[in-house]
Amino acid sequence: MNRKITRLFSLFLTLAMALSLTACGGKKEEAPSEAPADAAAEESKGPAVSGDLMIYTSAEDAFISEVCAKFNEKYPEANAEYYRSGTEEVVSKIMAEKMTNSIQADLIMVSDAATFENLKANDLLQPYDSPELGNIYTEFVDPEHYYYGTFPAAMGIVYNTDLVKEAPTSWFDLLKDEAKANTVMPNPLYSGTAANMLLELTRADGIGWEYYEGLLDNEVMIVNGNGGVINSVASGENAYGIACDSNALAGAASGSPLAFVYPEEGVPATADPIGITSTTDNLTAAQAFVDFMLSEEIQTLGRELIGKAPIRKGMEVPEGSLTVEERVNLISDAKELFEVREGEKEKFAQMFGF
Amino acid sequence: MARLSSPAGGKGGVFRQVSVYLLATFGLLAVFGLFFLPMYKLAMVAFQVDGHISLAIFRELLTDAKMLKVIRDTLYINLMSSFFASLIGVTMAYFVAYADIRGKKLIHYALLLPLIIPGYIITLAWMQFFAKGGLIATVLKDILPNVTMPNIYSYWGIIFVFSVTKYPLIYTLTLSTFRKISTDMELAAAVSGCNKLRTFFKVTLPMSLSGIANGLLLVFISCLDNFGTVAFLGIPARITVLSTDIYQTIISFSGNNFSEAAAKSVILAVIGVLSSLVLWRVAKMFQTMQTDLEDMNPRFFLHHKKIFVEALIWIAIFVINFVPLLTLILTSFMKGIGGGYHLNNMTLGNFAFVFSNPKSFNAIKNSLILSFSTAAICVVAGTIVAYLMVRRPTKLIRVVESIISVPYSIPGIILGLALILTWASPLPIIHKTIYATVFMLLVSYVVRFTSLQIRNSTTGVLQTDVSMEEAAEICGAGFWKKWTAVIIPLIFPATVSGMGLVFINALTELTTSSLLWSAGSETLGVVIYNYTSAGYTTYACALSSVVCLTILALVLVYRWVSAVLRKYTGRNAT
Repeated sequence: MNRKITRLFSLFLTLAMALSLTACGGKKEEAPSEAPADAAAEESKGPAVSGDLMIYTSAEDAFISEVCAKFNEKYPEANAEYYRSGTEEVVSKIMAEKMTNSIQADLIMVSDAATFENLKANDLLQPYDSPELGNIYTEFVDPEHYYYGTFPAAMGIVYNTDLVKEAPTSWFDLLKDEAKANTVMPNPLYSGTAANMLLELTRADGIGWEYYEGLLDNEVMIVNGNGGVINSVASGENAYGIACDSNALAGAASGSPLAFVYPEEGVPATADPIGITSTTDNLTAAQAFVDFMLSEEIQTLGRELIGKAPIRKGMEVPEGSLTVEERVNLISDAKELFEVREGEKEKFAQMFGF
Repeated sequence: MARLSSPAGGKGGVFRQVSVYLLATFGLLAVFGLFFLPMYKLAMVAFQVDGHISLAIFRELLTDAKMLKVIRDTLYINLMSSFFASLIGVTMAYFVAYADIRGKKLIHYALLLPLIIPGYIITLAWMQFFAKGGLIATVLKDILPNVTMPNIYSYWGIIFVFSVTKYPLIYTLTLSTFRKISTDMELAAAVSGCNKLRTFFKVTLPMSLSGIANGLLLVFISCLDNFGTVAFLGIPARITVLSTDIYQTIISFSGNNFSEAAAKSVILAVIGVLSSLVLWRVAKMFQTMQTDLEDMNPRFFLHHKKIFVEALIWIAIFVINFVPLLTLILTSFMKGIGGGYHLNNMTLGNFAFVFSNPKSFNAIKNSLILSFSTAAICVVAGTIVAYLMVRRPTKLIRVVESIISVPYSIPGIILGLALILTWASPLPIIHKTIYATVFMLLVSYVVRFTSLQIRNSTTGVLQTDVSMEEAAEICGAGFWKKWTAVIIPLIFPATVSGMGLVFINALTELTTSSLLWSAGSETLGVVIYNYTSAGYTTYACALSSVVCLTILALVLVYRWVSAVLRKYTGRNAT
């Protein structure tokens, strides 16, 4: 009995060794097996939508995974996948890949237009004339058609309805005593909407850099993304937060004690633009994906799933949300914003000690 | 014990000699290709400006006030954490080693919990524990309305989490040192009129300093290596330490970010090596007479106070190791954060999400494949090195062993950067890059964890007597037969526990993966990190709960298997 058991285990360990050998072997076999996949991608340049498609995005996991699934359902020959992180990290990744000539993305969808001007200036994008152009708000479309806004969003103030009795109306309400050490905002060095807000607010009349100095003096807490702001305010860690309207309204819809206001001075507006990379080897599918993102089906999905306002004219907006026409938008020229973007972010980093 | 010398001129002897040298050469080549070449590249990037060797980057960094603050913060956090970790570790080791408390075995295993649950999950758990508006705060508000939860996103928060996650490193080393201290010394002190406290400070503590110093070294190095805890707690508080600073330098794109990050890596490595040397010297200095065997008998009796001490120990263990994990699990069932703790706000949706979302599903798959392959490769390579080291300790083998153990003490973030610099551009002949594939991660895991396996396998080989192998040879067993029928069954328990450690470490690795992952090669650590930094706390908690329960299940299965094994073989499988 004794011997039998030990022999059994020695067999097991021998098996483990064998397994590791095959694992080593697998490494070598992988290289040739990838070649046919590339060949398939080459062939797919015809009109049929097929082949692999990689989207680099800052859109929420829950949403973009659903979009990819629906796209693959509509085009069974295609296989759309995504990589998700904050806008600034997505851009860093693209830039690093550009340096080593190994860009994997076919499409980029991050939060703000200035970032796309940056990508455009780096020859990373190519133009596309989408047939959906006539159906959407053109404020968020690049005049040269290198990128298309997908969901118009606005930054504003979110607050915890259990802790705040009187709803704020102005950005400056966050500089009051009741908001001291009780406010949270997303980091412009991670989040694209936060970076865009930094650019818009600091150049807006009557707001400016003094406003950010005020936030710093009022001991604002800084977290990475909009999602972190929503959590913090929902849990009562902070009573007030600066966040994107869709995140706040989706949080409220899931039962968190949240409400959102569009401050009267105006709201920095972005629209999660999408663009096709200049290096894509699957242009047909990439163009189909842009159209699909602007289609009524996906616009409805974004509204129902994560509380996004549709970019298509005439569609209903989520409850509590204002339409593009109803709110005061702060939208500067994207090229101008791109010029100053890195410098202003650096100034913010210095000021807040990052 | 005389070693069986191979008969002069015998075919087997020559074959064995050649195969040993072949193995050693292969090992050296692998280590050079996978570790030293990347490190060399890293140094080149750090020390070169416009093609010339230069210290310009360092001069700039070391005069930059921001960088100096990062170094100061790193040292401050690590030193404080080492101090508090040793306070917990030594106290617990003292009671477990010497007091006549009951249920020591259970206490022992409960204390070791942070060794198998990854640090970033424990951090996430403490974030739920201290959350304002969280369960603990809600309950506390009813009892003590004036007390507010301390802010965990702060220096003390990081130090606290480090202390409660790293103390087992000190505890295990001190425990065995305590048990090896001869009772005679303590009796002598008692006879000379020392009370218990005096005896502790005059005899026990000085005699265990070498063990404590070794433990401190491990804590310090492991804090330097840590990425998850300081990223979760430090970034919101704008506290940056070297590992997060290097990470942020690499991912924030700017023209010279790689050379800056490489230079920072060199600084981090220098701090690691210097502190290792100092603590290693201290450990040597205090090496004192010890008995070889661990004396497991209790040395003092608590009598009527026993129940209080036991209760205190269990409360401490419960609060430190279990309550935070319970709050983590609770959060993973929440529908909306802040929506209150009632059934209406509970959902299984977060679990449904992590199992259906392609990213987290991919991560589960990748991490499982990676940890199985890493464990399998490490167990073969590590066991061979360990065997040769013990049985045929030639100079070459010693060199290989000491080289292989280097990567484990090099912070993972440095290894990650070095591998990127070496492997990012396509390989020369096949014009493909393994960068951004799971193989990149596999390489880094194998490099990182092989030494862990060597240590455990060495224990196994040391425990078996060479006479068993000689008996096999005399009975005519060939090489293959000798290994499968004798050596492997004998070294199995220690080897497999090493394999388990490698498996768990690879399953939950974050530091190196955070730099090397890419779309399609997500790992569990990376996805939990991304969910947390994007603010999807409930998803992060759900995935973490799944990981924790999987690890606990694995450990229980392992305990059960080794118990069965012990029953049948009569050997001690630890």
